[in-house]
Parts: sequence; structure tokens; C-alpha cells
Amino acid sequence: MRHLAAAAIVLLSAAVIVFFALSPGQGWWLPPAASTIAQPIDALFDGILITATVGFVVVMALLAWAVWRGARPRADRARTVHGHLGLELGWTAAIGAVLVTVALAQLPTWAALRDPAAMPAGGATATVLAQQFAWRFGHAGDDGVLGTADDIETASELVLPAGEPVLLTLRSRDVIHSFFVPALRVKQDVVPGRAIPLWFTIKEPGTYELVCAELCGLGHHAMAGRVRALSRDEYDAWLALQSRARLSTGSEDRR
Amino acid sequence: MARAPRILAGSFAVLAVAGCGFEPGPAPTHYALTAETQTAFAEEPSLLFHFEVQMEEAFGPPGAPRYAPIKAWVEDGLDPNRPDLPFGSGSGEIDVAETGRLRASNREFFARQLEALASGDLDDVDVHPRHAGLRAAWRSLLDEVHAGRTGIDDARARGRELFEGWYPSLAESAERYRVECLHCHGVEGGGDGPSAQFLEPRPRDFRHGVFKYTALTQPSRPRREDLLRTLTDGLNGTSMPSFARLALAERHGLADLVRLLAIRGEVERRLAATFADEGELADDAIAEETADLFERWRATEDKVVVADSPLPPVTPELIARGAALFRDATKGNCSSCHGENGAGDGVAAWKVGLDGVRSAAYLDAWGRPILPRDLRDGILRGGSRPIDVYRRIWSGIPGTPMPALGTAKGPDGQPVLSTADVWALVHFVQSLAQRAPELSGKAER
Amino acid sequence: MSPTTHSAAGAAHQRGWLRTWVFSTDHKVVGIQYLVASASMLLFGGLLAMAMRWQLAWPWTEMPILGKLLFPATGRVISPAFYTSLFTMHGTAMVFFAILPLLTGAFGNFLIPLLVGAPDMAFPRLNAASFWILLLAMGLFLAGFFVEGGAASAGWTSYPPLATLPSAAPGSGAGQTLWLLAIVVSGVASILNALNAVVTVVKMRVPGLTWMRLPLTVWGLFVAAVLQLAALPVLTAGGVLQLADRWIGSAFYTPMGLMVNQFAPDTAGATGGVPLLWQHLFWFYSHPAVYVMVLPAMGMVSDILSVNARKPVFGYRPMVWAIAAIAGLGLIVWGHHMFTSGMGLEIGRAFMISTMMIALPSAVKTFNWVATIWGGRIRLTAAMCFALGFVALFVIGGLSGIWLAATPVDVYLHDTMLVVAHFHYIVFGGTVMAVFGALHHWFPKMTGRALSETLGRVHCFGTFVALNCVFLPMHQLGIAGMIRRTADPNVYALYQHLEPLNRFVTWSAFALGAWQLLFLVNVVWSLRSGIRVGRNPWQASTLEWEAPSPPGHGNFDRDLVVECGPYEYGDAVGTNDWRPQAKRT
Repeated sequence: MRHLAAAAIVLLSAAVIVFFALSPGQGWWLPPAASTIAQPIDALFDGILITATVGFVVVMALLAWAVWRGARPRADRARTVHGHLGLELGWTAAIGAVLVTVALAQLPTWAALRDPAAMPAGGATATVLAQQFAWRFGHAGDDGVLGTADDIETASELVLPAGEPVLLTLRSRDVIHSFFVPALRVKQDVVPGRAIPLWFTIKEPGTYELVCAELCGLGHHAMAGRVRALSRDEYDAWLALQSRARLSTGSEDRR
Repeated sequence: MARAPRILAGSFAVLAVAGCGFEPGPAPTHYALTAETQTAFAEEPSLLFHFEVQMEEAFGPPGAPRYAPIKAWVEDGLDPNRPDLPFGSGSGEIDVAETGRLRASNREFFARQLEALASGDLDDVDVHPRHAGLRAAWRSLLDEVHAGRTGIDDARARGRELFEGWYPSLAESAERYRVECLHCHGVEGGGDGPSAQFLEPRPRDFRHGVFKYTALTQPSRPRREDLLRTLTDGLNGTSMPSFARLALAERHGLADLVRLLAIRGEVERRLAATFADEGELADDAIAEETADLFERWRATEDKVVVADSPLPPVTPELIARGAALFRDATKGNCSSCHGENGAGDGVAAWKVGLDGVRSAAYLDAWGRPILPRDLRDGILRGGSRPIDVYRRIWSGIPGTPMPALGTAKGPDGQPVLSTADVWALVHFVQSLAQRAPELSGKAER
Repeated sequence: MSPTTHSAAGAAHQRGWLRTWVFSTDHKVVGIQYLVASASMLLFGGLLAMAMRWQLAWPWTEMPILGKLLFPATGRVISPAFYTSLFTMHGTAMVFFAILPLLTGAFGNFLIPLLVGAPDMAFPRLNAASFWILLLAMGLFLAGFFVEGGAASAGWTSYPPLATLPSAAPGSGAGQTLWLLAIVVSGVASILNALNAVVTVVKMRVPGLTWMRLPLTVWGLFVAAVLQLAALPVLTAGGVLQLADRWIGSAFYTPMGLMVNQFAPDTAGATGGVPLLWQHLFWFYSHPAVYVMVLPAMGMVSDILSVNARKPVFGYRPMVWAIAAIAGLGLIVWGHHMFTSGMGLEIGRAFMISTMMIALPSAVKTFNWVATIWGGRIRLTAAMCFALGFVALFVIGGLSGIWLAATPVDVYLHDTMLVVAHFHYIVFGGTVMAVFGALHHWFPKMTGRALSETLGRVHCFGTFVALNCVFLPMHQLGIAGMIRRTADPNVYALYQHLEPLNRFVTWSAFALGAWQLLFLVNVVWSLRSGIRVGRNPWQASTLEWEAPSPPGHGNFDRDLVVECGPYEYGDAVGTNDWRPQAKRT
């Protein structure tokens, strides 16, 4: 019985560690990072994982050993120990130090995500309008100003320049949605009644899936979109092309 | 005793792993006939059953829909089940440019498989069960390789063509429809899926063959491109989401299926009406109606609405002119429904009951109350490009009270609006949208 | 106050079945009523979870047997609308109607008077009333399934405007109204129950039972009750505000200019509400609720570990301080649920630091548990197995919480399956394991018969294995970015390769669910044929074991005076290896 109990704890620990170690190889892990903010976030993630693994192994080893030793057939009685002030202070201080370190380590990254001083200057690159169950995006048209009649509107695909900071203004038409691009490691709830700024820098051109991460009704699961990042030149060309397409007389539909 | 938990835990783990190959599927179903059809055949239950069987022969069950071959089609070399193939063995609907786009989309969509195909072991290439037809085709190719009947290089080339040239069969599209569309649009495309009751506006009932947002003059069935636009962009301001996440071939496949459901529904509606009138149906009635409707769906070439002149640059004078036309009862007369300021509060669109409650004055083609759009919303379902708004004004919105102003003639026999007039209206409509001012500048903190 | 003595037997015969088991004010009967009602909800919530797992493993496929009954219109497939109701009702059933009443209701009522040497709760009629009020809430909650539009479907968090506007979601009509009524009514029940618990502990301890001689179970239940008194009125009031938004056209949570499903919200002219207000009010209670769900469990586990290791709880005072610290910090960490809702820089920092700090007392408790059994003479009873399982699983749940406390990492992980994994390790791996352990430990006191130890251990090991198979892979799902509350992960190419993992989780969930039948078998069998036990089958020192098993009306048949702490075990306490807490007078 005691073998089984101790083995269960040891096997659980081993299974947890092996499973976590194998997961990145299976792709059951953080998707490839595509934004500049992703690097410090992933580093924090890894740092906490390593710290937690050390703590996990220590506690589980102690627990398994205590069970295995303690549950052996024995005639003597356990020692009556009510506590030990030094030990209590010791582990409180040690754990406290680790937690404070973790807390301090994340402050710069949080500031990069949220500090108004870190917000890119020069106004929004694009607007995001979330509604049940679609993403709609707006870019400034020929007049270079967002929110006018010549805006370029796209559905479900947000086109952005790569390699430079972009600022989005998020709005919702109905309920709360959440703008989540796993590869960029950004997530921002889109709360109706507010215009919420969100900024990040995409490193490389590419297409990244956009997920609605906040329950928004029965079609929540299908509220998918994409972020397509283009190099600055391609982006400008895309904007120009869209502006021209806006002026269509419809003749291209005639075959 | 100590052994028992170990054995139990072990057998559980084995079961859990072994069970991962388990693949449940949908229950088989049939296309149901509408209540109107049931009523029309109420006196003749055996004929109703016969009609149901014939309909299933003509269009297949929901799990494997298809058009049964019709004599005229066979003679012409037309096969509507294969819209991707040129005339002679298919329907010849997809032109070369679109085929190129389809292949490009497939290359992107199956990038992982194509990469594995080009570099690695063929056994690494895997197709998700959701693409059942493609999966089966690839597996049989793989079996040929394993049996030594096909060389590796040959298999690579054929595999590449398999993925790049993939176009879903109607049965594959039916599976996609079941997963993505059925919950709102229903098994028969009647706009009556289990989620439909919670949505406003209601999902489209395809069975009337009427689709609101097309680029065509009316009356006409929509073009494939019109359905694709709705599938790709969704309908702004409604619960119809964008399906741009599907491969272009899958969206084409869904458009094929929507057409089949629309034709099937319209055939059923027509024949139910015929039976109600005449008490009998000809033997080839279904084939006849199907062929007729299919022809209507294809006859859209010369119906595309194109503006004679390009969009004039927006000026305050032009907007003022648009406003005047909007309110002029002899010109646009838009304000009678949309209201003086486009708020959707025009007197003609509303009625007031004896109890003083205001409600919609009109019903749409599907029998539901319909109200004019509040244009201040800035959300235009048919698309926000000027030409999209132009087409709404020009050809109206089928199934709704919105009239086709482009083809309307005044009492003097002259068109009520010129192209320039419509452009002025477009500018006015676009100026109505109330956009949040701070969108352009710094967002609020 | 001196305990009233009564004859143990006899009460049932004199008062009739109905008076004894249904309309009783005896705290033990009320406790058992709570136990039966909340265990039923636990079972129900578990079944809802199975249905969800079915959908996630094989989206939009025919559900065997049940599909025919439940979803004939969709080809026997779960509909998206029903799926949203499933996770909403699962979460609500589990948190508000299963786990909370299990701990504060069932164990709180049964154990507090026995452990402090009191004949009953301070207000027995109020006690019975709080159970009946909760039963009314459960009825309202379940009624949601039978109204138009179906049960509430805005998540157990019911964020407005999705929850408040009837046009926003299928269940946001009558279903949501019933949900809100259920929450408000159950809030009233819980407040009454908590009040009772607090007064009982403060006023009704036997002579000599000082605060620092209270068993940790009582500490856990007491502090949980204090937390409920402090925070629950806020959620209850928030629920009333949501009802006002629905019924009288106020707009506490509805901002201007919404257009939902073509309907502008009918707010009778009121404008300018703030959706985030609800999130604050909700989490101000519902985060502390997590501690209400775990503090009593921690207390009971401490007792079980100590009794079965035949050793005092290591660091009793630090344990008490840790409970107090968790409760205190627990009131100021709710904002960590809102790191992605547009929270500003400074306030995010503040909530991050308070959240990090709450890990400290939790970790201290863990080390104290390990030190408690360290060098003990361990008896691996079924209760002990569950308690050890609790410690191991609580560690995993606690450590994954650090990711979620770290703001930038939480921005990525928020609303992913990792959050689901985290709180299920705490609430299932933690609390439910502790509840099973506590049932094995105190079942003899409740019924006079012991549960089968063999079946108990088999149940414990299977649950331990299956539970890890269910919830461990959910970490990976979350790390890979899979969001929770999605009806079909295959929509995103990003998640498609997670399918094998999702299926493994589902199979494990079915196994976990099936395995719980063993416990039902055990309870039914033991009620009839379990070994009859005396007053103190575990040689435990706390006061409840002084009473007969089961205790009669009034609990104790002799007067007690407490003269030492609750954990006097080991080689230094007398001729046996334990010493009763009370001297018999």
C-alpha cells in the first residue's frame, strides 16, 4: 500500500515533467512568436516554468519520501513535534524572495504592454470593430484620416505593416469580445462603450490567426479572423490598391 | 488487494489510448418537405411519399446531395455536379483566373502537406478527416505506393496535383455545410436551424431562390461571385460571419451547395403549387423545373450593374444634391421610408396599431416584418464601397420593399434618376454614417 | 455554555421520519440534507461536463443515445446555443450549488458544532431555513432548462451586456432571469448560513476551547464564513442590479449606442452604464469564493493528515496565520481576472503584486503539511490517501497560478484552457479530493458505520490517475493558445493539431465520471453493511469523537472541558500515542 501511495506521487511528478518536456516537440506549446513583445513574455513564461518545476520537484520528492518512510510497518511512535520557528521563517523568506523576484521581473513587460508612454505616437493605424460574430477593420483612405467616408473597410482580415509599431483602436458594437492573436501574444477585451488602444510590433510579414477569446454568444467559436502583416512597401501598395478598388464602377464584375 | 487498483488504473490507461481512434459521425437524415408541401398533398399521402422519394432521387439526401443527370444536360455535356471542370465534362463555370486563385488558396491551405510531400516521407502527409474525399484519395494513392504500383516521384507529382487542384465534391461540401451552416440555415436551407430563432435578422431561407445582396439587376438569381462575397466577407450587421478562414475551394463548394438547396427548395415550392392547382404532377416535372431553374442561375452574364461614369469626388454641393434627391418624392423618395435624415423612421415604413404600438408596415418575401435601415449606423450589409451602395439603389433589394430606382421610370417615361443622381445619393448616404470622432486621433486612455 | 446532554438514541423514534429527516433543525440533519442536495448537483454538473467534452473531442457529431432524446432537430448533434448553456450551467452548478454548499453547508453544519463542543448551531431554525432557501435557489436554477430560449448561456461569470440583453444570447431571456434569481436567493441562503457559522464559533465553544485550540477545520470554515459575510453581499447586490436592468429598464451595465441583433437595448431612457462594473462586483465575491471553496478543505486535510500521521500539525500558529492571510489577501486580488479588460498600468501592478503574495501563505501551508507527515507513523486510510492526493494536486494547481498572476503571461493565457486546468486542479484536485477524504473520515460519525476502506482506496487511486489525465493536458491546450468556451476548436488552424489531446482528455473525463460510481456503490453498501464503529474509530483527539456515532440530538452525552490543543499525537502525550482534547467531567 505504501509503495503504491509513494509510487503514485512519484509517477505523477514524473508524468508531469515528461509530458511537459515532450509537449513542445508535439507542437502542444506556445505558437511561434511573431511580435517583439512575445520574446520577453515567453522568457517570463519559461522562467516561471523553471522556477515552478524546481518547487514542484522539491515538494513532491519530500512528500513521496515522507509517505514511503512514514507508512512502513513500525512499532515506535511518531515524535511529537509542534513546529519549528526557524524552519517556518526560513521557507517563508525563501518563497517570498522567489515571488518578489518574479513580481519584479515582469514589471517592464507589463509597462511595455500598458504604459501610455509606450503607446506609439501619431494616431491609430487601423480601427477594429467587433460584433456578433465578426471582425471589421478600417484603414485610412486617400485622405489619410481614419473615420471618414473614404475609409477602407475589410472584413475578418486585418492588414498591418510589419516591422514597425502599430496602434489599433478597438470598439465593440454589441457585447464584449476579445482581440487575441496567439502568435503575437496580445489579447485585449473589446468592451462596448469604450475605445480601447492596443499596440504591438509585428516582426515578420506573415498571416496570423485572430481569435475571439471572450464569450460573445452562440457563434463565439466561429468568430475567427486573421492578421496579415506586410512589409511597409507592400502595405502602402495594398492601401493604394484598395483605395483604387473603392472607386470601382463595377465593370470588373462583367466578364 | 493491492493489485486491483494497479490493474484497474492500467486498463484504464490502455482503454484511453486505444479509444483515441474512435470516430463518431452524424446521424443519417433526409431533406424534409415544407409544411406548404405537406398541406398541398394532404389529401394524397401516397403521392406525397412518392414525391418525397422522387425529390431525393433528384437531389440526394443531406449526406450526399447531387443533381440527378437530366437528359438535356447529358446531351449538352453539362454536369452541374462538377462546377470546377470545363464544359463537356463539368459545368464550365469557373474561369482560368479563378482556377488560378483556387490553386493558390489550396497551396496556402495545404502548405504543410505540400511541404511534407516535397521533402519528407510520404507517410508524414496527413489529411484531416474533415476533408474526407481528399483524405480518401490521398490514402488510396499512398496504398498504391506501398503496394509498389506507383513510384515515389510519380506519387509526389500526383499528390501535389491532388492537393493543389482540390475542389470539394457536393458531398464534401454538404459535410462542411452541416458543420458550419446548418445550425442557422437548417438542413434544407430553410433558414430554420436550431439557432435561427435567436437571431435577428433571421438566417436566409434559400428555398425561395431570392438573395438580397447581388451585383445584378432584378429579377435574377445571384451569381457565384455574389454568394462568394457573402461567404467571404459575411454580412455586416448580421449574424452571418465571414468564412474567409475556409479555403477558397471550400467557399466555392458551399456556394455550389447553396445553389443546390435553393434549386431544390424552389422546385419543391413550384411543384407543390402546381399540385395544389392541378391535383397531379407530370412524370418529368422535377427534371423540367430543375433544368429551368438551373438555366436561370446561369443566365446572369448581362445583368451586372455597372455605373456609366466614375464616382465623382465628394463635395458639399454633391451631398446637398443627394439630400435633395433623397427627400424628393418624385425622385429618390427615399425619405418616405428611411426618414428625412436617414434614421429609418419614414412614415411609410411604419404603421400604428389601435393600441398605439408602432410596428413594421411591410413584410419581406419570407413573411417577416421588415424595417428600413437606419443609415446613421454606417453599417451597410451589401458592402460599403460606393459601387455597392450604387447597386442597392439601382436595383433595389430583392425580397424587400426597397425598389429598383435605376430602372424606374417617371410618369413622363423618363428614368427618375441618372447615374450622376445615384452617385449623389451614394455620397449623401455615406455622409449620414455617424462615425466616432476619436477614431482618427489618439484613442482614449 | 455547558453542552446539553441527551440520550443518543430515541430522538428519531419519538419525532417520526418526516420531522427527523426533512423538517429538522438539528445541525447534523441539515448538514446531511446539504450534503445530499449538493452532491446531486455535483453529479449533475459532472454530466454537463461530459457533454461538453463530447463536443470538444468530436465537434458536431452525433451523441450516442442521448443525442436522439435531446437534439432531434440537429441530427442528434449539440447545437451551439445549447453548448453555451452547457458550460454556463456546469460552472454555476459546480461553484454555487455543489462545492460551496458542500463545504460551508454540509461540512460547516455537520462539523462546526461537534468540533467546538456545542449542542447545535447558534440559530437552528435559521440554519434549516438557509437550507430550504438554497433548495429554492437550486429549483430556480434548474428551471432555466425548461424556459424559452433555454438555460442561461452567458458563462457562469454572466458578463453584461451578453447576459443582460435578451437579444444578445439565447439564454439571456428568461433563462438568465432565473439564473440571477437563483444566484441572489442562494446568496441570501449563504449569508444566513455564514452568519450562523460565525456566531456558533464565536459564542458556543466549550470551556477551555480557546481560539488557539480550535482544530484547523474550524478555522477554515470560520474564516470562509467571514469571507462570505464580507464579500457575498456585493455579488448579491450586483445580481439585484442586473435584475433591475432587466426588469425596470435601468442601465447599470449597459453603455450607450449598442445594437445587438438589430435591437437597441430597451433601457427606458437610462444610459451610460459600464459593463466592467459587473466584472468588479462579480469577482469581488467570486474570487474570494475560491478561497471559501478551498480554506475549509485545507482545514479538513490538515486534520486528516495529523490524525493519520499520528503527529501534531506542524506549525499550528503559522497555519492559522496563513488561513487569515489568504482570506485577507483574497479580498484584494479580484482584479487579476480583468488584466485583459483594459486595466491600466498601475492598478494592474497592484493586483499582480497582491496575487503573487497570496501564493506565499499557500506555499507555507504546503510545506507545513509535508512537515506534518514527515516522520509520522502514517496509516494509509482512504481518507489519508485522499488528503495526500489533495496536497499533491494542490501544488500543481498553485504553481500554474503563478503564470496567471504574472500580468504579461496572463495576457496570453487569460481565457485559455490553461485557466480551466488551473482552477480544476484547485477545485477538483483540491477541494473535491478533500471532500472525499473528509467523507471517509467523518462518515462513521455521520452514520455510525464506516465506509469500505478498500473501495475507498481503489476509488481514490483511480480518481487520482483519471483526474490528472483529464486536467494535465489542458495545460498544454492552453499554452498552445486554445481558448475556453469554444464549441469547436477546429475552426482555427492553430488548434487543429490539438485534436488528439482533446480526445484523450475526453476519454479520461468519461473514465473519471464512471469511476465516481464506485463511491456511490461504497456509500450505498456501507450505509447498510459497513462496519459498525464506536465513538472514535480513528483514535483522534478532537471533540467530535467524544460524542456517540452518530450523535443524538444535542450531540454530547457528557460534559466536556478542553484542556489542550487539537493535535496531541506522538510519543510525548501519554500512554497511547494520542490524548483527547477534552477532559471528561
